[in-house]
Amino acid sequence: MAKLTILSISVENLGPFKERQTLELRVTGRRPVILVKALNGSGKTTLLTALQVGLYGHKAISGMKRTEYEQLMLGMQRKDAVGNSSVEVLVLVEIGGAPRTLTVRREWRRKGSDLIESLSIFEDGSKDLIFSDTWDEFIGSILPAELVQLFLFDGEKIEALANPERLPDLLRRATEVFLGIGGIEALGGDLKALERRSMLKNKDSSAEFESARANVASWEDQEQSLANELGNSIQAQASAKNVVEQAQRALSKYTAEAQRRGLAAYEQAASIRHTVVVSQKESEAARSALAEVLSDPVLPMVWLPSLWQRYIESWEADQHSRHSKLLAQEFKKRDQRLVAAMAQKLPKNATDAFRQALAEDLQQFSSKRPSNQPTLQDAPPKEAERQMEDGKKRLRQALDRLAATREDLDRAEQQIGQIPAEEQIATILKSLQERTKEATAAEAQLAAITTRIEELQTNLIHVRARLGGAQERLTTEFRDRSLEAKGLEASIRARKALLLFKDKLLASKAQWLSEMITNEFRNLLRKRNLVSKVLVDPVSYQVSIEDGKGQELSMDRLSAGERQLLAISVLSALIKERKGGRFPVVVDTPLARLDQEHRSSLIKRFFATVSHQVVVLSTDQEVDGIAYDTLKPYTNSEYSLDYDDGVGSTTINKTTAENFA
Amino acid sequence: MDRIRLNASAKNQLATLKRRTGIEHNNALCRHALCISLANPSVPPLESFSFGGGIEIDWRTLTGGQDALYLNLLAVRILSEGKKVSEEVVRQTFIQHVHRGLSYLVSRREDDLLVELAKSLEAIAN
Repeated sequence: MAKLTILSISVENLGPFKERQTLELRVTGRRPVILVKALNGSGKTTLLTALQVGLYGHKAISGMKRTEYEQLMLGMQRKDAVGNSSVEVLVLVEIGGAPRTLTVRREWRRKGSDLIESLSIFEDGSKDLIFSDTWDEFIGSILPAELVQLFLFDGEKIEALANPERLPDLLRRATEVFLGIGGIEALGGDLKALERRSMLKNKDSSAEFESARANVASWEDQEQSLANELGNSIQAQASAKNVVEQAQRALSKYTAEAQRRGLAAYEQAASIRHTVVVSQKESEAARSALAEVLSDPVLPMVWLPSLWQRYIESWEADQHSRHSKLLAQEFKKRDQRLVAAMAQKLPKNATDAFRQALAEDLQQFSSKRPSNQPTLQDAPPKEAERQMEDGKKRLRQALDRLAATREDLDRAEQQIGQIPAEEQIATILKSLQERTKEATAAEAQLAAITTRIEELQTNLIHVRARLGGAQERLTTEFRDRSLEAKGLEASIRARKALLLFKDKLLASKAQWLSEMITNEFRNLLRKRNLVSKVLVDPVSYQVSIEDGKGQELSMDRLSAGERQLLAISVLSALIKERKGGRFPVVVDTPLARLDQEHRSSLIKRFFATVSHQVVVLSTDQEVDGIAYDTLKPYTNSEYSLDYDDGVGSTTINKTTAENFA
Repeated sequence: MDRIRLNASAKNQLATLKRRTGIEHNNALCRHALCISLANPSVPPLESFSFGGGIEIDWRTLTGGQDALYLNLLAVRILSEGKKVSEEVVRQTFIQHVHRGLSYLVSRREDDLLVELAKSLEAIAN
């Protein structure tokens, strides 16, 4: 709860004030009123403006553009003055029980046709730079600039407030400010600005955002199509596997079949033929060996066993006769030796007898020999028989060998016989080839599909990564974007809600306001019975008056003074309702159109009670006599503004009550 | 006995037998023909051979170095027939028997004459 009190105001080179003039405005709690009297043109309104402008700068005059404000200030600057215009307001600010005394100084200096305004805040005699920057905000937190006109107001303008067209608007705005609805408005405005900004920003970023979105979408499409294709390919792979298995089964089955039908033999034909050739060669060799054996010169003797027997016998006989012949010869020689030996020892006749006997014996021996045997040549059968035996053995072996080779040859030839003819095998071979081709093609197909699947899987991983990246990017880079989108919605909702809230608040306030205004108005107004109630329409804030009979009076029916009073009651109600911060009230010529009775009630009911510090700026006519007396108990001090025609400037002088006596 | 002459039919028969047995040399075939004929105790008919277009074979070659043995055998056969052994008789006997033997061999109808001969020979030997 802040409380602001104006301690003094100094004005230099502004309107009628040339040299620096200071107006002391300290008050004590019991007497809140400072009375400043002045003739027209001596600077009352300038003083009011200086107060407003000093505290609030260009914000003080609502609905005025910056350039208009500058024109106003330029217009107020004196041509005859040297140096800058300035307003210095000394204020006492009480926030949280720690009072601060601040000097707010605004200076305006001409620079060509422009006006340069500078603001400085002094505390304890030193300039506070930071505070100078944040002053507007600070003072605005005590009393919003929109309401300055309600606290520091010009009585002549009150009449304008009493105009029924303008009143509702003022009432509504004032109420809004008092209720802090300005905050709601500001919030709404901020939201609007935010929306606008985000719209603008989105205009810039939306292309990028859209492209990112499109990017994500395209990756999603790709992923989808890849996944579909992968699914299809996996199915195709399964069926291709089946096809391969079938083909392989058919092939192996057919291969077995073909072998049964001589294919193997056919395929082995070459080796079989080779075997046959080898066997034939073997067989030939065996035959040659047999022929060789049969060519043995002794072996044919086997054909004639009986003749051979005879030959053996003949051979024996021949040998025997040979031996006998040799023996006879030897006997003969021995006989001769014996006869020769006997002839020396024996008589002749004995020797002859002996010779005779020997000769007979030899004769005897020789006669046993077969005669006229042709002598056989030297070919002993024993030797021949040995050779024969050997020949027989070799014959046996050669025969066996030949038989064996024959068998081999037969077998080989049998196999050869099993080799099917080429044309027989051609169809088998052809279908075998076809089946092999089918199996190979199926395998190739399967391999292709498998490769494709691997490719797809790799692609899919890649695309998913890219998709993830794109989504990631979308969410991070455009998070604020999506947040903004949400924010926009939220903002729109919030604004709706705020509007609703504001209307409800205002409507609820309208009731209360009407009571307050009724109260104030009835306090001020002489014709109590004229008004039973001031009504504030909760929607339009149209102010209407109900008379005692419950008839509605339009504001046009009120006199100008009554309307002024109504406006003042409205102000009073509003000011008294202002709880945010206590602020001085300055009134400029408030009593112009009022009669005596109304003046005193205004003084009593309004000036005395409306604030802790009330500055009344009046003409010499307004606060006079009864009014002055009425105001006296509430008056803290009095000043007069005296305009010196000669110098063309006003001075501020403190006056005593006696001067008014 | 140094050169033996055989007639043209014997020559043809020999060619045939060579083809059918695979025995390459005439002398071997003639030895078998002689012995097969000698094994038959019947006396071959006496015929006068005309050797035109025939062949001549050296006796030593024919007997394969066993001329004494063959001569002895012929002598024993001649003697067993009660004939006198002389060179002329031996030659005559030899030629008759060879021719008869060759005819025997050629007249055999087996496919594989060589093996059949060998087997017959074996059968006699055992």
